[in-house]
Amino acid sequence: MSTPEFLDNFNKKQVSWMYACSKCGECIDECPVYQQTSDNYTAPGFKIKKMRPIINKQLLSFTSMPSESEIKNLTKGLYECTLCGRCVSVCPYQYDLVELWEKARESAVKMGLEPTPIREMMETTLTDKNFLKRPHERRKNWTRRLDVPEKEGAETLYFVGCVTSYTPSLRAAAAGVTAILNAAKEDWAILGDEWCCGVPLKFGGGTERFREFVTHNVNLIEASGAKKVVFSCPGCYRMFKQEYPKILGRSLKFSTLHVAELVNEYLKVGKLSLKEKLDEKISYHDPCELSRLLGVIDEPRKALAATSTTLLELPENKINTHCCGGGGLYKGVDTENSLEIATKRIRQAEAIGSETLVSACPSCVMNLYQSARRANSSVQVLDFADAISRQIKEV
Amino acid sequence: MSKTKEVKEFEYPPKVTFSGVLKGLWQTSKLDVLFHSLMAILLVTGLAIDLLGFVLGGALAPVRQILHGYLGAIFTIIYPFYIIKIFYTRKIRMLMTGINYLDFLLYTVLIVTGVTVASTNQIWVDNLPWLADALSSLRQYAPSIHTITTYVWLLISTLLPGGFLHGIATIYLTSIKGEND
Repeated sequence: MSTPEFLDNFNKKQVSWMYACSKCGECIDECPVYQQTSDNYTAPGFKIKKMRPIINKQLLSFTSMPSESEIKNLTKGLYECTLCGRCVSVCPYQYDLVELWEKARESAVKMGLEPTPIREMMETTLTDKNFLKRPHERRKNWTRRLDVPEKEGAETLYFVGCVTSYTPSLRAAAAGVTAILNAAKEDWAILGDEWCCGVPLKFGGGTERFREFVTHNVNLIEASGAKKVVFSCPGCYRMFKQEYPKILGRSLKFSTLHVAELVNEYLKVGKLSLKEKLDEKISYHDPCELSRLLGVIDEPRKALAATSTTLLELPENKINTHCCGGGGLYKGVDTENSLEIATKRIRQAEAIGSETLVSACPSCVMNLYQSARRANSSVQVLDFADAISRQIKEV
Repeated sequence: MSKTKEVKEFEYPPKVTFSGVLKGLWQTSKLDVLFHSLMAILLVTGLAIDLLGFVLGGALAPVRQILHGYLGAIFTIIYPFYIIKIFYTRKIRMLMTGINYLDFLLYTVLIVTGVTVASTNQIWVDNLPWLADALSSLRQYAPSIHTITTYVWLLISTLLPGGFLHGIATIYLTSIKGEND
């Protein structure tokens, strides 16, 4: 293994983060994966400790490299992470560890050290334009029997995303967005040839071809003349909002927003009317990317509060949200622990007496739904758009 | 599930600022703030005494006695607590490297030799005859060991990821603004 090149893609800032780390260990206590596995190599600070000698070796040739097995464990640990950003938020010095993990994964791919499921996910993303190994031509199958417009010149576009497009149990989420947009009489459409937003490549470390996905989607949207793009997946939303402009070196010619923000806006201006509130105890699980990394916190709560008499708060909420275990491609490398992390969230929902747990992210909904079934929980898991659409008042 | 830390404010991507680093340090551990502040002052004043002594001579007496001496005494008192905290906290132990342990060893040498130098001809040491006895054999060499150890510490900490490089990296991060600096 030619290891000195491993991690040679860090810039000065990222190298400095590793040396500036004060070893306070705050990130260790809070990491959802480390809490679950107790494996040192999943602990953020420990990974930095193991990465530092590799950087040292590049700077100072007389220093020693970690052993081959240590490097293998480190690489495994880099992917045993949900990229939830909890470590960044609790870091007293605010070092951007999400960016550090992503860059380290990039380096792992260059060295051919990425885990097989990740490699397969990236390969299928490149060939099928989705990471779920589904034929691209079936991307719009979810639209059957739904009033989904596909036309040129619509003012608003709904970017559906891979998970929602291809997962049958999430059809209700896409149908929910459809119902919301139609009820608000929005001039909207879906893209004729939507590709994956590229998040599996970005998270997997295959960023070399991430740009293809960025340019395809942006060119298509900008050519359509749409002014606004709506997302139900926080992963896609974050890519468009934070990563696409960086890749393109310019801002996008359209605005982006999550469906929770849109619904909140509709309710404010009266474009959407809801039925009488349900007498049901609901709680909201903040998706890490939406709340912590994008700052969308109050909007889903305000909208959900309009649907139910009792909106309960889970412990570890808002920017302190506890990851469901389904992010950062972690589920692909350790499904069992990913679901166990989600089970903890389900137990928290049960403990506060929640009957329905709503989340505004398809990956969270999937993971929470699967773990609730596995744990024989009575908690019903719903997607945000689905929950809202059930309460839309017909006019 | 373990008790979790509640963050009041957070914006992604985060920005590293000098005030943020100080605030973070303060929130994480007051002992760390004291330890790091004293260490920085002692290093700067120690270097000033050594490098500027031949030019400024007696003018450096207050720096030597008050800043370096008395603050050094406070450092000596808090150091055992700092070390105990580190050795008793599993997550911190998990992150410690060989260089950190070498740092601690060098700090210990600096403390022992510093106390030896400071105890020479001081009244307070008469009340601690056991200490005077223990340090008497070191008295002759203590100033040289103290100075040489400081430079050894600086060299190691600069070349390897020790305390000095940690400080430089932190200062660098607080000074940059651009995306890819």
